[in-house]
Amino acid sequence: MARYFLKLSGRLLLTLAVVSTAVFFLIRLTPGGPAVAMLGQDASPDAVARLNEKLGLTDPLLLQYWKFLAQLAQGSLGESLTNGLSVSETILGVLPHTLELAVAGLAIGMLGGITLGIVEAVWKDRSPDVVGRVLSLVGLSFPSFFVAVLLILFIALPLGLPTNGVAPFTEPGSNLQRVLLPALAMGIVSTAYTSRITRSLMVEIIGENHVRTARAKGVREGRVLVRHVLQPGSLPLVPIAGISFITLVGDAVLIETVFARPGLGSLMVSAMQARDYTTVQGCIIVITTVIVLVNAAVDALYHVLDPRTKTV
Amino acid sequence: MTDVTESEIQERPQTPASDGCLSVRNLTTVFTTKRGTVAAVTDVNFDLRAGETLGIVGESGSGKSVTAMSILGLIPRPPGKVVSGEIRVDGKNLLALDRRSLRAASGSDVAMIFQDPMTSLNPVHRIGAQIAEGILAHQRRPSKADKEAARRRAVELLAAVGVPAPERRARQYPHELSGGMRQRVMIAMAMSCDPKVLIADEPTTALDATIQAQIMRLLREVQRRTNVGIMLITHDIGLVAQNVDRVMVMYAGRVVEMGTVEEVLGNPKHPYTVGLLRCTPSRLPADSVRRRLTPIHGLPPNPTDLPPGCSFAPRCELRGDRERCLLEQPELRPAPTDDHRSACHFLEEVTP
Repeated sequence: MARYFLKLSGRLLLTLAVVSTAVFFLIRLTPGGPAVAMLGQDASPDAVARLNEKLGLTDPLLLQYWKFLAQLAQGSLGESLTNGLSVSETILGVLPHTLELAVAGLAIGMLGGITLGIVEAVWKDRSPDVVGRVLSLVGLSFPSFFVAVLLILFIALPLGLPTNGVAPFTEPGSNLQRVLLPALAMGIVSTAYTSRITRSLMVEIIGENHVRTARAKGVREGRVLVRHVLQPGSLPLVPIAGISFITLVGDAVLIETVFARPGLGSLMVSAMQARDYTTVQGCIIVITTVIVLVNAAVDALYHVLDPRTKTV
Repeated sequence: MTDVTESEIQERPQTPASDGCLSVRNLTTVFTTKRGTVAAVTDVNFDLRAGETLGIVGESGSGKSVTAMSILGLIPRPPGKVVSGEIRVDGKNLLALDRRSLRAASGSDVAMIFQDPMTSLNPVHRIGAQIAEGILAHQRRPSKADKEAARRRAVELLAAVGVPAPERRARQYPHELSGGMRQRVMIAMAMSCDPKVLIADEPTTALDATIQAQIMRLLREVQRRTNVGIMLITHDIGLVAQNVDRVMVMYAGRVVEMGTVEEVLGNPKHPYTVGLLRCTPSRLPADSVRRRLTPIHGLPPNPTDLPPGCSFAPRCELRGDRERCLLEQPELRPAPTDDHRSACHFLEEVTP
């Protein structure tokens, strides 16, 4: 167990080192800078230079990099270049909303996708399958932000549901109301994707010999489906859920913008626009950490669920 | 066709229901494919008595497995369909049963073991639970005590099929067992509800030779204990010679020869059987004529495009130039007794 966590932290550190280095240099390669963004296109070069010096951006790049690493080693993500607030505090303030959105989207996507996929596999090549496959193709061809706009237009506005912002977790009713539509927008696309994978997985398992054995034993069809098709089939779905979650965290960037939700995504978008280097770096580092941890959780879950990977 | 029906009506009294535990009449199973309807099994008739072993031989695609799957209602539908016939187990026609009653019959009246024990067990459940599941599937609303009893019975069954340390094995997963052990587990599972008929579809093909012998010995022992009728599907003539009472030879979905193992293997009356025996290795000395293997020339006919006459005619060495073989479908007829029947127009001319 201790070795497992040691390996995990090693992997996390390595990934973080690569990602943070890449994002540090790449973002500084983009044209413009925080000073220009803050002072506007018409600011005098003098003013820009003065602000740059104040922000420490006139130091040699490698020195800036060294300072960044030194800060990171102390567990600090630095201060925002635009408003001087602690980046980690800003991120921690919005992270729960993004995670809530991604988890809700994942729940909708997995629940809907697995159900649809099973229905398609059981009624393979018959009407439920054909309808389901057409629907999932439609879902896959709509980007989630477009689905979001449709949901606002055709569901939120006629029903008078809130279309922007978040509510604190202390008000669960209002909070859920505001997370439902954005999660649905992401969940629909995720449903389409998951249903495709689930269908092919289940079709394959239904054709396997052990399913025939179960039927030959006289096991009820419903039980065959649950114990002999779904249970072996749920194993490969675990990593699929992991991948979906990671995709959803990325999707959240767009969805949060459409629904004007404060979150990691919208924070990153505005930080990009303001060339707020430290905030962008902080967001990327946090997202990377989440991804590595989710992957580790998926691995661990797989080991627990699959008897074949247990060490005898 | 009408001839067959008449001869059956006369035949039935000869095999009273009491000793014929399985009787199959006019079984025809078809598959609908993109290129049309294919008859995988055509007009198959046979009986299996309690305590008897019937060997079904033939090459791949001859309809052996489809016959077995039709009996258990395991033909995937669509594309497959049993279009006619009767399958009676102890007088009960399985083909006339609704889904629920057929499910009740599978496993309890007729059980089956499969070719590949590696993949025929569920990889994520324990062995014991999988055996118990078959027992509980035939109980209405099993109580906790029933479940516990089924679990204990599973352990007993494992012990009965020669699995050492059955208590421990019952708690293991299939991947922790060897191929031979897994086939023993399959046999235990199949025997869990005391079936009257056990269908063994190439039970030893995936195992190595020494394990094959053990599994066959186990099957014979199980049969002696329970008087189960065994349908042994195989393409291994050697296995048939040592383990069965009667043989049924299938070719292109039809039964071409049927009889006691001594008659069919010792005095074959169908050119296809003769061909099959000629390509079976024997242990005779090197200078013996029979030592040389002679393959049957050509390939089995395309099932979508069966010839109107005898399906074997295009490959038959006996046919010569005779038109009748190409035009007229031969029916099974006594060769020369009812205990040995062949579907060849010229069976009198067949020499081993």
